[in-house]
Amino acid sequence: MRNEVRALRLAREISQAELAEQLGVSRQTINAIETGRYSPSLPLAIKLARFLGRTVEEVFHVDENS
Amino acid sequence: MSMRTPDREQPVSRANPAAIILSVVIGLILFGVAVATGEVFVGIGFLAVTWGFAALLHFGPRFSDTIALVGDDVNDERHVYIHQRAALISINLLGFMLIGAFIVDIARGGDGSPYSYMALIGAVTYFSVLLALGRRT
Repeated sequence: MRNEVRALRLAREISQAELAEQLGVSRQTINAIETGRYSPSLPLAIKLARFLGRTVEEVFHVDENS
Repeated sequence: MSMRTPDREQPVSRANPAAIILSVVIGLILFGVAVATGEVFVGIGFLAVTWGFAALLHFGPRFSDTIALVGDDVNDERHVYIHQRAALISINLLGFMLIGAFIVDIARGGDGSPYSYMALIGAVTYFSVLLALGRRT
């Protein structure tokens, strides 16, 4: 699943560690989400989108072919 | 299993305290047993290894996500997911090993025990949990 987490995070000029601390997860989890290796749960996806000031649909894009 | 994200106030990556306490307790037990059998230096060695491991679990997660995983960190939902997959793979492998050991024992003229009993317990547990979770979730 593609996402805009890295782009939105960089636009806010915050590090992975800072974002992780705000959301209550590890930095490695943020990295895994940004690189597409891990899909967050619905609660975490909503928290992430709200923190970045977007909707979940604007942050995460489901591949139509999957 | 709930994928609850922890509150911000909690430390993010940390080992399960039970894992740390268990390491300390096992070290004490092994030390006691070794000393009781007259092997003091062996006991000290057991203590060093188990308490060193406990220290690694306590301090290591701050620097390494892998150590946090080893220490059964369940504060991060991704860690919970990884633990679930690791448990699934391990259990499947154990299942195959049980079947293999059972077959080897039968081929050697044995009655297949205790492998058959272990497999029976595993199968009953699996299907019971399947039924229970199927109704609850």
